[in-house]
Amino acid sequence: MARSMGNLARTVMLVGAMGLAGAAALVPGCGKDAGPGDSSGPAASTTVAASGSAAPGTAPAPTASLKAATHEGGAIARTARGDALILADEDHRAVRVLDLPLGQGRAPFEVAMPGAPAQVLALPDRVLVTVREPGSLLVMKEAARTAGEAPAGPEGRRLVEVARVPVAADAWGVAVTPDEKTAIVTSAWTHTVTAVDLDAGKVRWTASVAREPRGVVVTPDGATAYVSHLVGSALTRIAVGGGAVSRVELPAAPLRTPPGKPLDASFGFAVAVSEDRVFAARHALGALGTQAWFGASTVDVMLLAGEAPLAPKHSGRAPFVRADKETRPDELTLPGGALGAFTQPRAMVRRGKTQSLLVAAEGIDAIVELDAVSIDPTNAVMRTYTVGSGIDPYLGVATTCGAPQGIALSADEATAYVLCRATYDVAEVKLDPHDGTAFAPAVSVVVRFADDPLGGDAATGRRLFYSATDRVTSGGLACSGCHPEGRDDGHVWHEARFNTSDGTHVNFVGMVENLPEEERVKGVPRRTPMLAGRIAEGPYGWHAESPDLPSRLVNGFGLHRWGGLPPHQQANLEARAAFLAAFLRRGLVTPPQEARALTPEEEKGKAIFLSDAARCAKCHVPESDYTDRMAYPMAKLPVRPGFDDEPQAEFKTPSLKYVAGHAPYFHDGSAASLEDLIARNGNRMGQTEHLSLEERAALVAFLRTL
Amino acid sequence: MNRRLAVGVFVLAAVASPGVAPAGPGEPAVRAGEGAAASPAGAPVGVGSPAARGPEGGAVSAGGAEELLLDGEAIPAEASKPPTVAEWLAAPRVKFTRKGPAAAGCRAQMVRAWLRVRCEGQVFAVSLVGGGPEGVAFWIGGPVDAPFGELLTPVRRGDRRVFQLWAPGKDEAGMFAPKPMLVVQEQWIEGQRSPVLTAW
Repeated sequence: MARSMGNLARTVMLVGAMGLAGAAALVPGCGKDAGPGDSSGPAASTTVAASGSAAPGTAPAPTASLKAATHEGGAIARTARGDALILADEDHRAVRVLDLPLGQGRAPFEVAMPGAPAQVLALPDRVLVTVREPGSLLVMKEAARTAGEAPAGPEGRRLVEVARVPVAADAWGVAVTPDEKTAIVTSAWTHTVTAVDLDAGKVRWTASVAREPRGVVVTPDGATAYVSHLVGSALTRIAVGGGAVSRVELPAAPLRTPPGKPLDASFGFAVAVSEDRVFAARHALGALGTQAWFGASTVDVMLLAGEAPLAPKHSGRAPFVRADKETRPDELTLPGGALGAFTQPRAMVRRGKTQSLLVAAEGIDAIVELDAVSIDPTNAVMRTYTVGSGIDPYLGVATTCGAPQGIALSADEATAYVLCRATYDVAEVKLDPHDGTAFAPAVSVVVRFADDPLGGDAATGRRLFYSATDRVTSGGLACSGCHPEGRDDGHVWHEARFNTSDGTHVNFVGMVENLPEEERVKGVPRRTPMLAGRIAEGPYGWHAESPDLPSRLVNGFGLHRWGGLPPHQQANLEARAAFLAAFLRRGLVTPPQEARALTPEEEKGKAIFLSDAARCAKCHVPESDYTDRMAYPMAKLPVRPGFDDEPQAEFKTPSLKYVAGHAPYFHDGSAASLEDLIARNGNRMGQTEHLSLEERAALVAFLRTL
Repeated sequence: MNRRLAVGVFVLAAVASPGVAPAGPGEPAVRAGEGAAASPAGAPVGVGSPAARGPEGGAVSAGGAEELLLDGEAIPAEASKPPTVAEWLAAPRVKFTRKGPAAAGCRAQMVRAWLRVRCEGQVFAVSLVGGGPEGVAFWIGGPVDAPFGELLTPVRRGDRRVFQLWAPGKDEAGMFAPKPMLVVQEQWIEGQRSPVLTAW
């Protein structure tokens, strides 16, 4: 698949007429970057013709002015010219180019990347690609062949990398300023945002932000960037000019929030911007609703003027009810249905023509169109476009277009192109014009661009991992919903035994308010564990109660829902668990780790960690992922407000791999940071009470390197 | 039975702030065929007059009645009492900014700074999910062959209100369970000319 990427200016195949700049603009800084609609620029406004090959040794022919389809990156992008799609194929570490219109029989071209690409952004004169590891922003342009050079692809063109800008590891999201001169890049694991001067190909500033920054948009005036996070409800505001960072509160699903208790949020992959507002798609954990065990999916709106949330708070006022039927009045004070119109909002684009938002609902294999004008778009569903098909009769997951994770719009916004991560398809979806004419939603074309690199059981497990449609595996939320990319949502759940209409079961709920009041239980606290890089060997579970991974997964099938499992056969449960286990072991990508020597402070911390005095390594054994996999009776932590007392004293030694990146800590999430954990530990785990402040800081510094 | 008559006759209840009574009990029922009384200002306001309807002007609803655009310039800033039944009878219909198929049976009217939304069909409950309750009132009623639910709300700059209408339904076991019917959202953001009314 991949050719060597050692040479910076690699030759790759490129679909014809991508609308990229010619060879004259190969060197960063050469030529002018044309803004949307700018036809006067000598270099940036030139490109190849719509069909046919450029003659060897010649620059692509000039074209009329072009406008970028969007200024936000995504897993899929349409070229400014509208003649190709560009895909970030993370699992194959490649960028792919598909000719438009789809379904013409032409195979997609593959462009090998130095690492897994997360997002692509097609500007009129170049393509930006974020690469997770090594963290970088790639700038690619089209170039003409030299005389005598063999064609690189059917169209005889090539795509060359003209700049590689190193940024913090785990580069993920990208957006550009309206003048297309500055790119803002989020780096997830390293919680960093970087501004890149696209003309100079250099970093302008780097800013440290909260956990897991993902989606990014730049306001129409180009002055401010807003970043969404995989963990937490607040957005990060960054001044584009200098990188000053501040936190902006944006309550999650305020209409479903109990009075005085703001909701936690997760899965904040996607953010969009309009002239006067920012839209953030995520999960509102603990949002109220009938059987809303995890909460609900939501798109929350913030007005740019004043940075105020648009939605009011939940009124909690009694409903006006016809008094001839018994019902729970409190449930009638909430909007809409139980879990929301979608789950796992992995991507979102704004459809300007219809003033709507298209949300890629990873969990339900659908694109959901929401009214962007409404206060609460979540409760203003204009249309649902199902993209998943070929449902496996045994597993209930889509075999075609499963787990949509990217959306690109055609120039006329009449068509959406959807990248499906679980099945490696791109679907073409005709969109409702919303003009009053009759409309029947349908997927018109599906192109499979690759096979699953894992194959076999692991490939099936990948589909299950993303899918919330299989009622046996999950209760309306896929594994990926709480463990996105095998990481964690940073949430502390309530694990409680309570009665439902189908009996008494142990379930997780997002907030104590999700539990039936009459049950008088609050549940014990359990923070979401990280999976990637931490599940090599068992036993599993907080108490080491599951001897192997499949049995742990079967346990999880029952926990992560409202009530009990639907009718099933035990063999089917075990089969699902086996598929998922195969994927979790082979398909989850561990976060990047910097290969470097320890600093003196980290060395000091390591010595403390290994010392007989601190005794950290007695249980967190370095040779086995910093765990001995044993459960020990532990001194009880204080009961957390809003939770029940812990009935069980034994807890398994957790792995410390990647411990820096998954706060909060302890099984109950009561330690907000590693510093907090060490400060509060005393001699509960090992012996750290005797450590000086300097030694504790050194120990934390070492833990961050694991 | 004339449906307008039902406004006065089939009011079941109302929830309003103290001192602000919706048209209903205590208001004279309007009989079919009576002429519409003019508002104190002489005509219903809060909607675009033909000269101020904006670029789209009015629209014709599926039922054939002309619907005017909500026009903030025509909505008085000062507070006023809720309209009388006579005023509602005379009030023009206004256009939803956006609405979906679930709101096909809904119609909206404006009088001064008061908005009334009536949705035909069996309505089990109406809730103010979020936003200020002052002046808000609900009705469920109508004749057996033409039931409806209705909400009344003041419309002012800075408003953000969300209403949920529930229909009677059944769960998987066949037991009674209310089903989400419609979400009505009313907002008037500072700096915007006119309020926005959506129903999905």
